[in-house]
Amino acid sequence: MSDDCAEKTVETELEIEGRKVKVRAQVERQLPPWGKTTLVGKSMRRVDGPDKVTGAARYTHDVQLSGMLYGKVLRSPHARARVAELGLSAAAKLPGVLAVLGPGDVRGVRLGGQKVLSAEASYAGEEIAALAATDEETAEEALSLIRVRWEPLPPVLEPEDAMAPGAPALQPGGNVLGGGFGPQTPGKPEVYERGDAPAALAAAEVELARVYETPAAQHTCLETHGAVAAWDGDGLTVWESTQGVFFVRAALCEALGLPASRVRVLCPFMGGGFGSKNSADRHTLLAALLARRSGRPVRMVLSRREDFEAGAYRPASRQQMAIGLTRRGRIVALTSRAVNPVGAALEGHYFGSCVGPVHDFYACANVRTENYAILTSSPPPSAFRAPGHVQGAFALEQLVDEAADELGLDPVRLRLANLSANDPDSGQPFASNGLASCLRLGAKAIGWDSRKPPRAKAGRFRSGLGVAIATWGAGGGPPAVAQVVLHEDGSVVVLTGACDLGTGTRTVMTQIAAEELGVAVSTVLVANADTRTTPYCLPSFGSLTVASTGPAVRLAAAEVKRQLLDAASPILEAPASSLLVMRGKVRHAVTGKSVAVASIAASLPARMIVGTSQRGPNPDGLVLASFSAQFAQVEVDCRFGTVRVKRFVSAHDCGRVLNPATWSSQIQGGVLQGIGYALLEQRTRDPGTGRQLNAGLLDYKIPTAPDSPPEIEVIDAAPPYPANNIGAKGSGEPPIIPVAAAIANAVANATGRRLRTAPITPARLLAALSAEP
Amino acid sequence: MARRAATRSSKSPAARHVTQIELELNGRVTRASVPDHWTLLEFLRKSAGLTGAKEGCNAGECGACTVLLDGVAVYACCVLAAETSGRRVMTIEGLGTPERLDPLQEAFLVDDALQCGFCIPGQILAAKALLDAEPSPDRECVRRALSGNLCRCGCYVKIATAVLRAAAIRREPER
Repeated sequence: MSDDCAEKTVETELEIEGRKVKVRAQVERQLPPWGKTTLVGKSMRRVDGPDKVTGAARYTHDVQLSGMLYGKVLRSPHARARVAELGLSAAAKLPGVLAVLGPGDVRGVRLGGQKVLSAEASYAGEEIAALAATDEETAEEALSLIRVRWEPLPPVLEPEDAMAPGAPALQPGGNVLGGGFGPQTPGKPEVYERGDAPAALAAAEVELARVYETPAAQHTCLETHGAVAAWDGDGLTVWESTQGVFFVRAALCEALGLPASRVRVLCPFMGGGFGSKNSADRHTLLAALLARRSGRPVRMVLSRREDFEAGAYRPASRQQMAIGLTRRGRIVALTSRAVNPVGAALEGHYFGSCVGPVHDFYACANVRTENYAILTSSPPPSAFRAPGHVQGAFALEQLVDEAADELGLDPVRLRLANLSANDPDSGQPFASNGLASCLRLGAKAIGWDSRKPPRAKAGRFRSGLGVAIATWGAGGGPPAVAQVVLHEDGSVVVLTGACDLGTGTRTVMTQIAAEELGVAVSTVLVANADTRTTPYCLPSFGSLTVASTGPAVRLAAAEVKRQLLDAASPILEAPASSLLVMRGKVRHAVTGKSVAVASIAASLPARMIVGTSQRGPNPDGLVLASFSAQFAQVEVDCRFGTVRVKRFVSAHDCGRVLNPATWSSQIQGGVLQGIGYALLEQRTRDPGTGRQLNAGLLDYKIPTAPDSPPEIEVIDAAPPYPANNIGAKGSGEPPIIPVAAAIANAVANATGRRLRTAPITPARLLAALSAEP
Repeated sequence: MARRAATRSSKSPAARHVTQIELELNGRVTRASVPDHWTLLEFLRKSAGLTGAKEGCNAGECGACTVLLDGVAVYACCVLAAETSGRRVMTIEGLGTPERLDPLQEAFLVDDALQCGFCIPGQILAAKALLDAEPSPDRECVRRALSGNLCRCGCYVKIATAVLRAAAIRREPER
């Protein structure tokens, strides 16, 4: 890097899934925000919609290669066990089996510091051996021929057992770790303090202490985790159902000792991620290793059962909370002691910090949180859409409602009175903050003024209204590089490494490039998520894709436009500054004299214009967050203990909405997942063996069409956002954060009973209804 | 264990029983020989090269493999390929193409009734079976009819809107 270049880089802050990280950023040309736009902000149809509605879209599951083998994994049936003896020879001899791997064959291979096959199972479902065969049936049969002599060990399934004196140490450092992420001191919780919460709590006019519990919830992507790996000499190509092709590549390069130039990872279409597909997984490595050993492409796709049993999840939590307030409803103290069972998590696993909302949601001078991650004999968890915040909001946003009830104050007003002008944690101002508007507009839309106290209700069916809020760091940032290519015929290709998880990334980037270039969207093609051909960016996680890659695409398009106008200047005999691009033509602003973009490109010696730009730094001293307030109207059937969400209003500030159609789809989807979390979803395990009891879609119930409210009203409550050149913040995660709390608050409003454990099942609700209030 | 393995080994791929089938697949008479134990979904994806029907569970729980069998929506993972001889099968590839979309496909695009898209072929075919049987459903009827098709991205509200839109288009007199 030359000195000149080094001078142009600065340190900037980026927030990913609740973690603030420092990164270097190159200072790029500043672009003023768009004024009036013609394409951005419009509900343009999805560019990949026709492929998706006709079945033409090829997902990783659909990749078929000549000579492709089917890979299968032998998994531990025991939650904790040692493999005393492993006999692979019968499987290897079965006709049609072309490669078999045991732990001894992959000793040196590490994925994120962990083995990819283990002779010591630390959870039921852990990978022990793998093989590849010419067809699925042969692979299954070969698995049944593998002989294992197990030495089962007593599993440690509950956090209390793991923390008990004399509990077997599941890792050398012991079973107690701190917090939700990052390097941690074994044996110690992660502690956060501002002010003096214990003293403020003791001195508070009103104090409430409550305990909330949330379940382990699973991503349940309709496309299970999977990869197809093929070698060409010493080069590797992998199709992976992933959120981030570059993270997959990095993991493969590290594990296999390959240079990045020799590993190509692609993800043209993927069937859902929600945080569970941020990088390579063991199946990815096993596909690559089996393909290398057999000399044939290998497809390794997890069955639905495997996806549940060995797959990721949002960790459960038990949160002991306390709140102190003045009688007039000012929050003066908040504390939380949270315990999260995190299975066989190791450093590098990220699953979010459930105490984040306590730090971030309200102006409160005195906050103390203590966060424990407890190792158990269970699979490691992972990020899951707003990791940590969903479970934390379930607790905090009920606690605030309970305080409002105690004080006889309106929950919306209590929240409005305690919102913070600045980021409560850092004290720095927000770049923009529409949370109060979200609350006001949402309350109006749901008809909050008609809300009645529970005592006014009787009968079998009782209706209630509930509210909850969210904040979420969603400003995006570098690294994100984009390239825009104008071809000789005037057609445009936008190259970005970003995966489109179904959020509309391809469509929105099309709009941004077409808007900036002044060409029709039909001339623009977004080619994405291919490490060989597209430039670097982070995975599509942390609600950062639009706010990271969007500004880079606009800058790259602006660079192409600059070159285009320079080239048009001699043709139109006018300075470039007097020219603009409109509807595919370069036009003189005054005389109207014009020339087609295509004919300029064709006249160039290179026959093309290439613009490459990268995401610049975030502004110093400003906190970048998206905000949401959500409102649920429920009907409780007091006879059967069921809850129906009759109406839902979801109000958001995520800056400029680039495409209302794809945006509202994403918001509604987040709400639906929140409804599942509130009412339906929980991983259940056999208390003796630790094996999952509901590893299927009938028993692990995600919302179906009738579980959805008939309508989910989505409200844009955003003030202008000046912190990047497209004016947009992220919106992927905020919609799920407050949903479960809003529903629990609505149930409390309907029945007068508090359900502090999610999901709110009929059994729990009937028990609460039959108890004394 | 060893004996069971030996029995299973006798069913090596070459020795497995196969059945000749002849069906009408997306309007074309199609002949194939399929292993007896193959589901319709396996035949479509592995042999017929039609990957629009997805495998989300292989257990009749998610609906991603929904196809029409003699006009009735079925889970292709729960029908044996051998059973389809002499019958009509329509997959999403037979409904329309990007250049010539069926009203249902068009409506899903207009209402943005999709996100990742993995469940969408199944949703659309389940909706087609509904509209073929009931041209004027209300929203509640649509929601019930599609309750066997999971969408984890959570598009249910817009899917119901799109199906109602398609129903209205299909009722237009010129069609």
